[in-house]
Amino acid sequence: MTDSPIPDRDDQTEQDRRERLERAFQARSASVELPEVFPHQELLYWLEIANMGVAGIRADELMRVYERYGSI
Amino acid sequence: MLLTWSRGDLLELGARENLGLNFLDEKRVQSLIEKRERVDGEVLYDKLQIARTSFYPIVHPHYPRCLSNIHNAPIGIYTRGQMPITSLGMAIAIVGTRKPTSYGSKIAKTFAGELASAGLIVVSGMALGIDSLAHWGAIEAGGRTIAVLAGGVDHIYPSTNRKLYDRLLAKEDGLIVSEYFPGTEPKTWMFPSRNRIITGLSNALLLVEAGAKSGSLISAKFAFEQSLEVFAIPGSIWAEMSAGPNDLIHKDSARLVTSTKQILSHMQVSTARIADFAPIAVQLYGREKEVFDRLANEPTHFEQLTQALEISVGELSSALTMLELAGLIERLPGDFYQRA
Repeated sequence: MTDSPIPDRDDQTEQDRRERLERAFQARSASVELPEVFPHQELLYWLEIANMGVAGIRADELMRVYERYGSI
Repeated sequence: MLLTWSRGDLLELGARENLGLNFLDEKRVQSLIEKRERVDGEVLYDKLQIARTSFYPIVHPHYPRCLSNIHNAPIGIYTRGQMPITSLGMAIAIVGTRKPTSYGSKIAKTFAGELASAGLIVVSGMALGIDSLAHWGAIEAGGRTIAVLAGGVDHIYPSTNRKLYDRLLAKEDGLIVSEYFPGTEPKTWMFPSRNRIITGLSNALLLVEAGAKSGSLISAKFAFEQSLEVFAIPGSIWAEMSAGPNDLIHKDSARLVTSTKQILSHMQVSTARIADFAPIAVQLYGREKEVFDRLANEPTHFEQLTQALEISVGELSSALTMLELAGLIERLPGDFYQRA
């Protein structure tokens, strides 16, 4: 095997993993907000739907849309 | 899409039989189009912030799973208070008449206290009488309690229960829940409908005292339909406020109980349902979801994943790292991965 400027995938994976762990650790240490549990935009959509009288559409029907498209 | 797609696109979606979205008919799409013009999520969200209220839509990872399983589950719930919604656990609904006798009052408060002390969350509707006594019983015993209101979470009903309402908001042992936006005034028809949420958040229901036509019997009916354990306190056959529980016992729709020990003993049997209350800690999207879905409880090699998912090494590494950080998967020697 010849020397290659591209690191071996395992090495890169490991290095990448370490860097990400380090970043995550620093983020937590600095009390930086963790990623949101539920996307804000999605929350706004549901808030609108919930306050529309839902146009006669039931929750289980909305769920069908959500399950199909991952969004409403 | 329901809020952004054109009328034509939505109708086309409804017309495609294989999608199962045939409820998107002419009438409902028209209604949707008209109504969506009048609401603005940002404005609603700002109002929620001012009202110190949280909103959890039915697809939110913190929406109680047991509630999402009931018939006609609320599209979303609004909460106010310091009890983290992620900490919900085994719960019992305690309901009954607004005009209890001294016998019923004593039982409601004592039983609520003992059950709350045992770790159950006491759920009720903050009405006068049995509801209020149950909330107070739980609070005074150092336990936790949830009030489900018929109107918005900021609409104190009855207004004479201001002290209880304030106390529910004051500490982490209380929570107010509603399916309506803050400011919504309760209407008569909302009360029976609210009862399905009381039972939907609970593992069992205890009916203390209720007249033959009491609204509490609607809660008992919901509980029965939702396969909850229903308990009833027996009373004198001459007592008007024991007619409801006595009748349920007679029809085998409720289990006669005379102590909290009996209730706790029976609830042990159904503790499997406690898993329903466990919130999903992390909601996954995109690549991370794809990778997690692909992983099984058996170890899968990195190469197998790249081939199966047809994604780059970098993307896969990134997704795996995030999943590992979230504690959802384990990395095993030899570059194998499996669900944690």
